[in-house]
Amino acid sequence: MELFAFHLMPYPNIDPEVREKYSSAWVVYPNSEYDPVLGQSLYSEYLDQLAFADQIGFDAVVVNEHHQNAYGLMPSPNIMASALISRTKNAKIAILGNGIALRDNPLRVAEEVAMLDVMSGGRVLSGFVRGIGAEYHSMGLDPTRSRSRFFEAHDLIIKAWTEPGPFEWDGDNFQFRYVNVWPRPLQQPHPPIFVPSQGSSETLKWAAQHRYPLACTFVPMERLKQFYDRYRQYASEDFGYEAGPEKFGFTSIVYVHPDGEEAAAAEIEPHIKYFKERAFTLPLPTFFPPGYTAPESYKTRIEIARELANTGGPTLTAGEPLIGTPEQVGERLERNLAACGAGTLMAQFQVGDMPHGKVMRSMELFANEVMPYLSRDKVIS
Amino acid sequence: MSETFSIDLPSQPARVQRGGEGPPLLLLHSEANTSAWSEFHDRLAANFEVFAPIHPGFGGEETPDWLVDMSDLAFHYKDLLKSLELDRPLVVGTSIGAWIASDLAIHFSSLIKGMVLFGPIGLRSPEPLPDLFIKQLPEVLGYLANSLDGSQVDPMTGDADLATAVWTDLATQARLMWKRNYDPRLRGRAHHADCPIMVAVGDQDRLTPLSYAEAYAELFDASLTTITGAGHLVPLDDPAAAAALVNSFYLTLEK
Repeated sequence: MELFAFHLMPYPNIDPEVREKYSSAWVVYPNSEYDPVLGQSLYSEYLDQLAFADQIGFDAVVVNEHHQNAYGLMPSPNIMASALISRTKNAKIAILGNGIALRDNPLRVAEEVAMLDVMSGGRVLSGFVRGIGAEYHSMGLDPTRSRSRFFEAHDLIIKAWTEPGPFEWDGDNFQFRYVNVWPRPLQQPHPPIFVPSQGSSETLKWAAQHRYPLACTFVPMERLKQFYDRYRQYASEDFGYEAGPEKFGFTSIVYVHPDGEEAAAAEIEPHIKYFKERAFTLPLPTFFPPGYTAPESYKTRIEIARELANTGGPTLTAGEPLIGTPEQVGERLERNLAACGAGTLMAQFQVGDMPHGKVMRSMELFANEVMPYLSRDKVIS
Repeated sequence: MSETFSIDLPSQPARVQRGGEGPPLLLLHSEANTSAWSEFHDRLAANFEVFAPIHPGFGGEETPDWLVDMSDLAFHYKDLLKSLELDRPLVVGTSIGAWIASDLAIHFSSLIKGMVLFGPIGLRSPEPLPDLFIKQLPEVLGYLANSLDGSQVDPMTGDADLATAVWTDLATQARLMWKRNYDPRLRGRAHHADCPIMVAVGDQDRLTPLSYAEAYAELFDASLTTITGAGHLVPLDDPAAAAALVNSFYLTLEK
């Protein structure tokens, strides 16, 4: 198994009445609510947490891209990745999204990720995302072009990394007379790509075709199994290979406490509540603006939104909760991965407004009392 | 009574609703799943042969790739007029349909007899207009008309199919209006719309203020009428008054 340390870098002091007063913690939540002095210490603590993940032997640290929101303070994941290069030694730096469809010039991503790969000595894992609907509001980008922009930006970046320049690119969305990216990435033919999925057949088939691992965030176990099964089916039936566990990863909250499950749950519950009721305040038209998906996918989102309203918000844990004693967490973690045939757990130790000390205590327990007992054969070469 | 048929055009097949007898009238519908044959259509069909096409990317259809901006629809409807052999029809448009009508008249005013524009959009406003794309669907309908029932399209408690239909119309509107809910070229081109034009707005319009309609009418050298008690989509809120207005406007053209 591979262990990634996943981070959102959330803002902790979101107004308790964010829903009533502002309708959203995204796009329109006023940035006068952000305190830059607090922001400095947050960045420092969050980077310390990821640096600690490297020290205790995590295979990768994960950063994300989200814009104009209090949910995650990483509008530029490449800046975070750059900060992590000097603070980490061995861990890969997984950029779970550059939102490549969001850039008017996707070659900036090709340049920046190539720089990071060279600077880090080839430690970059390059995630490509479309960006959630909110980003299209924040960036002033027509969401009906999102899928087309994503696929074209992907093709352009891969070609820029793998074929000698200069060459000309004349696409539906992007046109460049001269594509000739300096520097080129250190990893050959290019840094490993991975992509998230919310389960659309188009994305699953595309990912299977390119043999890109899926990195799924906040997807419940039943849906994970469906997504992975469909990926495996596309791989074997359409593209002639067997997709192993190295193709599949997902996020889960992890919280380890020496006194057992009840004590652990009591301590983490307020932070989960904060995450769901404040940071994740994301109205449907912000999350899924018109044209962001096909109409039938929107109808599915309505069904999911209704399910979530009944079950109390997004699923932060796929499968059995990784909240409890070291023994419980270790056993369940292995069972959860096995249950869906995944090879990578993206563990989220910091959730919502959880303070630094709590995060570090849980990570230390995980390092000392869980990790030594896990079967950690490498699945990603 | 109406019939629906499909006719091949160079862009894509057009779905057309047709009803009534009389001089030809091209009716260009508004947004948010309001393309269906309605009381307004019936009232117009008493005096006209009404052709009410459904815009590409509306009425449940996904946004077509070829659709880039409003002028694509002007050319699409020019092709429709030719295919249907309509001889200088009266063109009636509501909201986004009025914008399409304006663009059609700018490019091909010799092909049309005159225009009635209900709650037209497409002009740059000195004050920002509401951003319908970030609103909850019931709110969107609230901005558009008094007579639409927003609760039906609430994704959480309403009819999921209806909500999806409104959302799908909004998607094509997003293609056309996400970056700018106006065409900056309209101001410099309006004088090409060389035909008689009437602008009509509801006095309870919550999407565009009266000053906006006044600017529109002035730009297009059009008369301006206000309908009491109606919101932005006048023909939905007061089909009788809207149809009467079309009839009386047509009589002035005959003189």
